[in-house]
Amino acid sequence: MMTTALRIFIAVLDILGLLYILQLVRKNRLDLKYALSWLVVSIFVLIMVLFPNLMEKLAEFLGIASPVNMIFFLGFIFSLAIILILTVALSINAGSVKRLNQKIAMLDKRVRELEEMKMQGDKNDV
Amino acid sequence: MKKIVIIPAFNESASIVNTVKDIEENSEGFDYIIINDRSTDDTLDVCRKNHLNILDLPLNLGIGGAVQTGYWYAYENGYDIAVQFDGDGQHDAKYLNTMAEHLVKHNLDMVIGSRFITNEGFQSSGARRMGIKYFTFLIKLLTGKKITDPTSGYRMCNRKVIKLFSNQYPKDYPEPETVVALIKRGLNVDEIPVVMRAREEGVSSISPKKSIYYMFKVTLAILIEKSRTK
Repeated sequence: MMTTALRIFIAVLDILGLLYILQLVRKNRLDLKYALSWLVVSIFVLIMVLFPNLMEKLAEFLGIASPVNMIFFLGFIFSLAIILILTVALSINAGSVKRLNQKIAMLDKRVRELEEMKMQGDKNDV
Repeated sequence: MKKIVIIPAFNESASIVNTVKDIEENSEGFDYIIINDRSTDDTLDVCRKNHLNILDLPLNLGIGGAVQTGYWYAYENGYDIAVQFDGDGQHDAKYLNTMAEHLVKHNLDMVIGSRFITNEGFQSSGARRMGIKYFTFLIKLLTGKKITDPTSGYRMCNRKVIKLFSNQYPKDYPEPETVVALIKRGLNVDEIPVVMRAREEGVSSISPKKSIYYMFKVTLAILIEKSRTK
């Protein structure tokens, strides 16, 4: 069984985290797209803490002796999922950066060529 | 027919000028483009001072990203044929026209310059040759096609492949994987014998320590490429 003190402690931490995530989204520091997975985790934890019966039944069903262990276990699984999502996001990002990088190199070359042509033209005018 | 030589360069200040000279003197009708992959030596200065044709990447992308820049450039500038060429003096420009003729004559999508058809010239170390043989075997097993030098960086391709590569190209160790990708798409890949030199300057991007990682990663990349539906 979880003590009431532990339940309150987890609930408070969770709500603080939830508020912080929402604040980050409001200030445009975190994309809602990536915030969603975090919100799902924290709302799930909140439900589990507020309704311990639900949690106990689920723990019993899965054969996990202590309900709190189930919270940790599920939290861990969710965290892994979020890390994977982040790795995917990172790969997409790396691809975009590569593309920009390549385009910049090509534009840089064109600018130099145009400048040179312009300089030639100016010389000819004189 | 517009033809271009793609020269990826990372810290090749000592050999880049000779490489370009080799191309200009020994291959007719080929333009060239150097891709400076954010070298930490004075490759960029040397190229600018000698008025060489160069694309200067603002960030280091690694060999795959650098070569891909060349393919994208070739695509945007309407080239029909593009060939990868090492900046360190390993490759000999006298084969460029032979490769181009072979490509056009046999209607190929890619032609690879192979060290292991006549087994002449620089043959790489014994351990490396074993690794290359392994990839030859793996590719034969998966595609039914024998490629004697799947790791060769001396390869020429037509516009269809230029377009493909400019959209999709592996980040590192791209050669064996892309060969499989082409064969699987039903494109025609063939090899002609070339003689390569030991590199003049610089070191191989694959150190002995990295070779285990290389073998593992490329094997996985080939298997994944094979499993892709399109």
